[in-house]
Amino acid sequence: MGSSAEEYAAFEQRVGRTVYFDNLSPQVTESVLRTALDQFATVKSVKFLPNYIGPSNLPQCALVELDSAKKAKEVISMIGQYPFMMSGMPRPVRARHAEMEMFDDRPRKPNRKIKCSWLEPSDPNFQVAKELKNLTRKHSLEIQFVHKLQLEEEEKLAKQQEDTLKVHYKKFKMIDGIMADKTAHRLARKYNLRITDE
Amino acid sequence: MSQGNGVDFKWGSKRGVGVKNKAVQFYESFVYEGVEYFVYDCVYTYIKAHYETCIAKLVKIYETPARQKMVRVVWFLRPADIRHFLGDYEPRWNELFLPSGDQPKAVSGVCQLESIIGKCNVVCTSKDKRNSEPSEMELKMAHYFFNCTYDVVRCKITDKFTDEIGGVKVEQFFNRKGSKKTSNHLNETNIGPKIVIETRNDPSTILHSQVNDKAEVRTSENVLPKRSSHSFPYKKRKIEGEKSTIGRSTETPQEEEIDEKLELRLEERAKTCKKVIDVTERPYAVSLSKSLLLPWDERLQKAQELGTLVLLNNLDPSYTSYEVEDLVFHALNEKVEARMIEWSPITNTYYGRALIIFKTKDAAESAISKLNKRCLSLGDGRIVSATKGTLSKPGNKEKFSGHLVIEQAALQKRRQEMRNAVSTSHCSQSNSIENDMAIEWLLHYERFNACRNALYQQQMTEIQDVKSKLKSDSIIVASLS
Repeated sequence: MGSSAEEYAAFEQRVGRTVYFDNLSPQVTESVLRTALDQFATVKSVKFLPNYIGPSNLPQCALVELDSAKKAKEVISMIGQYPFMMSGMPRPVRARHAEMEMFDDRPRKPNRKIKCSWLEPSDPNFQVAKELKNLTRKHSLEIQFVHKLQLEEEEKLAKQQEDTLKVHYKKFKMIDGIMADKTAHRLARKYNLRITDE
Repeated sequence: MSQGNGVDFKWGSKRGVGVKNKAVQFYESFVYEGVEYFVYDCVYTYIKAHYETCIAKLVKIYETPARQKMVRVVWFLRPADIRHFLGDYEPRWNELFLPSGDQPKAVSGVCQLESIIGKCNVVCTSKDKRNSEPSEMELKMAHYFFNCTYDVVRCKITDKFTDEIGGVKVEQFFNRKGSKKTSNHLNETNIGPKIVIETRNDPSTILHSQVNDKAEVRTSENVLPKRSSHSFPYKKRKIEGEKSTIGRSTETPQEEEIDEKLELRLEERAKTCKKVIDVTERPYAVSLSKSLLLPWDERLQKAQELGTLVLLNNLDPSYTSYEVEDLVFHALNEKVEARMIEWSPITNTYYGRALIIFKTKDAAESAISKLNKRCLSLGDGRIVSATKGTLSKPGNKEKFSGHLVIEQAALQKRRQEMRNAVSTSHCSQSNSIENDMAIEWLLHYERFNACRNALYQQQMTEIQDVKSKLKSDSIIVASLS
């Protein structure tokens, strides 16, 4: 691939004006993202990142290219300040700057040389290399575990919030009820209070 | 390998003998399975364990002293083969590209005559004045057409045709005028008598019997490309510190050197010296899988079903998919499809991972076992690890934990608000329950961020600790650029 320096520089700029969103609901689509961000900046392109090997119920992630790096920064700081909801509540989305490695279609770095070599068992480094390999495996298991933990916690938090919401809902219903059957009015009369109903 | 005793085979008229080796006999034509083939015919070739056929032009037909029937061909490229370089060019489904470039060995190759499975009708629609324009009839009859060449050196598609393609005059690739017989020019420089197959086979039987010994596996594999009968010359691969031609017997015509080389190989095996492979670009990406026409996601699914999917871990995360394909090509001698997994904040960014689709299940399995038994070290002390690739099942689209729905909103007004809130995106007001809950989520995000960062930090220390044990004199100096 004759990836020239200019192509790479252009790509770097594209990365600069791209925002990475995660914790997106699976119902979020490109048009939802576009409408959501329309109020802040012009959306040039949207790309959802596929989840090939992660846990299957991970939230969606997307790369959204805006019209300028400045706008990208604004959007990120805005979403950092206020919880921003898309296609549901109360779980907010998160935004951060995109990194080059988030693009699967990135051009190759110009002038990079990759070298590789096979280590033989006789090589003094072979044992160390084995160790490194095991470490890689261990680390990926650790990461998987954290994923699992996080998803469990999220489940828990969602459950808890649901319960809270139900309690609130009950309260509202009760208030609604006493307003409807004039209990509130009777009580007000009894305690000699004024009640203003709209 | 059948040794030329097939009943359905007959040589046509002789053309001459090899310049360097008189025992090599060249022919004008042959009859195989009832079809007569001439030099410069286009054919389908099929190589075992591949999904798809290749389309090639016969350039030379010959028999080796070992009575092996070989053909030298120029392989046409399918659009999928050069999909990384198409740029804005939109190929038609039945379009092919003629490889070009000033490295004859990069565009042509040898394969066994038996791999031919039939004739293919390829016409050239180029406006080049050396080309006679095809009639409508011819176009209708054609299976494929080509209009452009693909420069394998510069990786560019152009509609200009150079004078020679792989050492063959370009006229031979254009449509023939009338029934003009092919000219009988023997290109001195390019008729290498090739008895390579024989030389390749002998040592391979020796070497493959020692597969258990890890020290020797490497050598045997380095020296003898397993799939050599259809391998394209990967001449850019350099093996430092040794004669660079050793691994390249596929394309070295001088059979006089064979004995000498064999000795060298044996010597080499004894030494098991370390070699650094420079991963350069492949001459051109040749992927033969028909499933290339399918979207990538379906191909992945299929690969998983077929067991050809492999996950590589501990790559440099800045590699591109294409570079990973190069890497696998040079290290494992397999042409694969690769896709880097995008970096995401929820994984350790030190580790680059890639999904690889191999051509066959065997190739995938042998790659995994090779990478597990031995260690493939990358420039900066990374050791590639491989596991079978398993895709995650698609998640539940309907439910998203953390998004709450109230089945029956109490007040009409409230319900209206709710519905609006659900369907639109918004920043939450700071005086609502919703906001409180959102803050709880943010707290949750932050907690796990912190937890991950701590984990990654610890992992990095562990990596550094182990890495520091590497003997720096023998490990390749990190080529971090």
